[in-house]
Amino acid sequence: MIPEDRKFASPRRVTLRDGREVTIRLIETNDLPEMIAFYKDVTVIDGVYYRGSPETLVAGAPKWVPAAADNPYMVCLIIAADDGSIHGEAWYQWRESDKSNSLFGICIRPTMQGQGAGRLIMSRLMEIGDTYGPPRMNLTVQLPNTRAWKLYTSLGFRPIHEQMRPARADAPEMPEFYMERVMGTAPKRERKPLQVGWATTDITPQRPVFIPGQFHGRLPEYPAEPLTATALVLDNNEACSAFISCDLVSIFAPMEPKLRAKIAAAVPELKDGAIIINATHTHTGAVMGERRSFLPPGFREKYNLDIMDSDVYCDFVVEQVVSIITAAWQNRQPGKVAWGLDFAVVGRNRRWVSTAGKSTMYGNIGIPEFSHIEGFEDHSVNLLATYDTSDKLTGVVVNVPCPSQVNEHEYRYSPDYWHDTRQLLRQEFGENLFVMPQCSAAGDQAPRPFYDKDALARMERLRNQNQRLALASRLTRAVVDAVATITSEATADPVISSGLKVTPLPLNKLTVADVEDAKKEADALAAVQDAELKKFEQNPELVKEPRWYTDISRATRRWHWFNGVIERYEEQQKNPNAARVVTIHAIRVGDVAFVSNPFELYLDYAIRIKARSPFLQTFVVQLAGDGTYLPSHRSTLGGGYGSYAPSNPIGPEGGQQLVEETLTLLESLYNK
Amino acid sequence: MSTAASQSPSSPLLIGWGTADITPPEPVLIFGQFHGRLPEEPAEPLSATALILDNGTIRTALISCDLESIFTPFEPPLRQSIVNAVPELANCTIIINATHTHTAPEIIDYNGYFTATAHEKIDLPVMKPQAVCDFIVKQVTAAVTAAWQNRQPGKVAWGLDFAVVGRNRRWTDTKGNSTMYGNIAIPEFSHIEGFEDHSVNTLATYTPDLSLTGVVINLACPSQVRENDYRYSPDFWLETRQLLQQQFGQSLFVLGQCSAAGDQSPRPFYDKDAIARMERLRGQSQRLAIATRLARAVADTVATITPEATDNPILAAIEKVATLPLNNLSEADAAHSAAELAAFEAERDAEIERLAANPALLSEPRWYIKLTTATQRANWHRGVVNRYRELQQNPNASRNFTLRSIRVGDIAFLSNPFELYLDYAIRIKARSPFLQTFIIQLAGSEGYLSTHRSTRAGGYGSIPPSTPIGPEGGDVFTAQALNLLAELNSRNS
Repeated sequence: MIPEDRKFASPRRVTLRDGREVTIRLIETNDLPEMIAFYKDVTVIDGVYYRGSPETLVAGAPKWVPAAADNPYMVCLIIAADDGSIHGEAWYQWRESDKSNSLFGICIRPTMQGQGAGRLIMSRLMEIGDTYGPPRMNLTVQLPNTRAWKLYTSLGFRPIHEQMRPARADAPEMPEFYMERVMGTAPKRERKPLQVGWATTDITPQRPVFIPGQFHGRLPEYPAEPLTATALVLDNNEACSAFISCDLVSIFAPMEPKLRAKIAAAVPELKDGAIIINATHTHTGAVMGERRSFLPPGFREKYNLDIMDSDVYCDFVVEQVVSIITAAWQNRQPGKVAWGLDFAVVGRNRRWVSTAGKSTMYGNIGIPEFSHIEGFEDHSVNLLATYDTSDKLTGVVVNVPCPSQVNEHEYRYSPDYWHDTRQLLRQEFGENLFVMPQCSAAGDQAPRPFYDKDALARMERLRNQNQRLALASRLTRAVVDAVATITSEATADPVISSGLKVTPLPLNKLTVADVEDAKKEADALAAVQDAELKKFEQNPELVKEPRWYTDISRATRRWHWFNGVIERYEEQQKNPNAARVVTIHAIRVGDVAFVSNPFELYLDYAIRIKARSPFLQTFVVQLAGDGTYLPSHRSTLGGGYGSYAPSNPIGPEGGQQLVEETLTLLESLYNK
Repeated sequence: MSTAASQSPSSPLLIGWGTADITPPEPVLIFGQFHGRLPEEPAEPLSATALILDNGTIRTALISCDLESIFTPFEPPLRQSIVNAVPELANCTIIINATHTHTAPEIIDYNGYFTATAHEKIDLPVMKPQAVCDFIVKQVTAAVTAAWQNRQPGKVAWGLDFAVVGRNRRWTDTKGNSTMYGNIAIPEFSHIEGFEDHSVNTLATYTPDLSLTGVVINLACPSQVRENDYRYSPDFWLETRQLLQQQFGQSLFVLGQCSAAGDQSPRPFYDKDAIARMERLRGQSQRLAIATRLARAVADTVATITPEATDNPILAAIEKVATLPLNNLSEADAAHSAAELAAFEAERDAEIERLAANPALLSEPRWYIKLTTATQRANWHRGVVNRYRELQQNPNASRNFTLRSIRVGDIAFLSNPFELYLDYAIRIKARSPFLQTFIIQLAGSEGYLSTHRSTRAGGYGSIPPSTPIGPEGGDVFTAQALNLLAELNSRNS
């Protein structure tokens, strides 16, 4: 800081948790000897998350300290004890020309960690930053550095996108989040009438890609029903947020960071708001990503198969989605929103418990051993409707706890019942209506009844409906009824705000028996894979046979599934507190809130969230990520597919943490 | 006892409907809470509705009453009265059910809200139990007689749709304990204990030219939205009848049946404000909102099934006595209830004395609350004490219940006297040989029949005073019910 600006950063006495008093003040050029002493004590791991190893820091100190003290585009604070020793530094700096691209760093001496020193110096730095410096402060935080995560998010930093930090001399390449905080120096945004933007696009693969949703892969054999992605942008100048829904089985891990980074570049204005990206969980979409690979590495190339590289499909979807979010932003028009709730029987609980207490997904319950259907059903249809300024309906966000998988075994691309629902709603409200589906918590739900099946089939036959159309008809009616009720309440001035939380959830505890079972299965599946590989080597023409891939794809996918148990077990052996970092996005629109999670979340969790949420309606959005089943405690007691080790990287303990973190986020959004 | 009959119809189907007002002409305590309530507002008429199906060989009847239960002292005289009035119905299967409205009179001799002593010592301003029973027996008999006399050639059709009406009313905390009702917006809430079934099973009747004459509507929800009101009311069945009669004509008969709903009620646990807002925006009360959903499901069903209406359905009926073991009781259960019984009896007796000593107290508003609560609570715990004593003498002590089943074409009605937890109905429906199985609960007055999972978790509805028959008895009931349905099916296939 230049001398005349130092008044913005006067020294402050603070008390640590252990009662020690220290001073937080600007760094001085003559602090160099004590800074070198401080750097010598920095641990290797702290160095990994900071500017470099202790040796690097010490070597660079003669240059760094005077620059940090005198740079007019930098604020550098230190923690100084009364004996003159230095125990930490935190700083930010920015580019002179446009005050953009600020950088940030913090490092605390090990002996002072755990005493609140990091929070105290950061808080002081933010306080100064709110009156002096650039309008936005940026930092990067590496994924494993969960303590820093907590600190930064609590101080108002939000992740903008995920990226890879290049390898350094002291550390390998590692994933990190690029975060941002809007500072008090940023111009205040005035709330203006709402602008609403919609766009939709086709994401049907142009060449064959495997269809995920079963253990075995499927390649399309029939003409596609178009897979789509739909985007909605809400902007009242004070805040903006976006929703994206994709006809996919999940928001695959390789896609999301690419997509978010590209959206941030294409529509920088959306950086300040949350973007919820969800999959409808159609089981007749297209796959992407290594984790979901249906064929062993190199197989596709070796046999010169006409199957699109899933990375290429990923890039295609990213481009398509970026194009619609851009279009939605550019198409923004003054508009209104309204929200409401109705009912439609769509999702049905798909797990049953035997008299011996064992749970099973699907199957025949017409047996004496059947005791009860394990969990609950939620037939709520939560709706957000958008209008133009003359109250003409322009689009609907429809949130229903049921995945889109009536015809989940088909060999064609299809959005499943959302295809029919869109058609019916457009027949009702016009061909230009945008329909954005969201799947609420439905890990234990499916559009498949356990009982009265013949009676339901007969009613559908008498109505000349298939099961998809029957569901779509009920869903459409609920939406139409809700729209008729809420249109008079439409507002151009809703509160819009958003928040997110990045939180580690503990890995599900695995037992020796779990891993032994998984090893047995994985070994057997590896043998099947080998046999299949040999079979194709001996007779390459087999790849021309119908559905030649069924056995090898099933063995490959199941091997991945069981190998996941082995990997997680090994991870837990090294680190009993191993966790997965999960991002929860929340968007408030008027009296309702949307809150996302990456899982196939069992319904019980959504009921916990809805019951305790401060909002009139809470739209829980599952599969806003690549997650798999997150089972309830009661379901793990019964076991079965969906609620046992291979299905559950995260278990019920993590589930309850997710609930609590979600509620904290919703509370903070409500109180904003 | 086992009676059964089946046939290939030799004459066209005759269908008769009748209905009668069963609103008491004088005050009777309203049943449905531990405390009694006397009507303070004008009644919404309570009714009984009867349907007779007769194909010349088989005659059978369905009767639905806007009552909390088919109270034990009421059922035998009613059945006798019906047979006296319509001798042709002797030895025919008649299913008589209550809609489980919580705003209808009690028909319980001296084991209800007021004991014989209370009647002796206090000049109670209520109808005498026998007079209530006689009145309602007379009225229901009149409805059945009218149905018999009104029989006309007709057709029937059946179908299924959905309406979100019954909601599970029991929740489980993180320690595994269950509670009926209450606030689940707490960190200790784990999950809603059981399931919900939003099926609406409909049997529609028509004239030969397919004009709709009546509907039997079966859904898993008791009629208790306004279960605390101080007036007689059929609750949501009133609006449902009105809406359906608006749609299909004022002469339409509507016969409401409550399917297994021991753990259900029309009360949601979550989204309550959002649902209330939608009702407000629609100008609906909660009752009207439910009735609207229900009436729509029925109207949609009727629109779908009318072309399928037949005047030649298989008619058959079977009734059998099922013997179900008494719920196991521990010494601690008995000791707890004995202590409660003594305390409530003392409170009851003191209250009788207080009111007898000062009749002016009967002019005070709701003077009877303390007395009726103590009396009912004492009755509740007395059941445990008596059953424990019985079990001590005979560990295999049991109760006999008559299960009735009626087949109409591809569907079957199956009655039971309990507030049956939903899980049992799902077991029966899943294994029933019929296209649709209309489970009818409270065709009697036997209290909750709780499931294993509910009993483990406890709470009102699943604790000893609530459950003379326990989940072991429930398993036996399920097996017997399925045997009955299988037999009914085999006799006609």
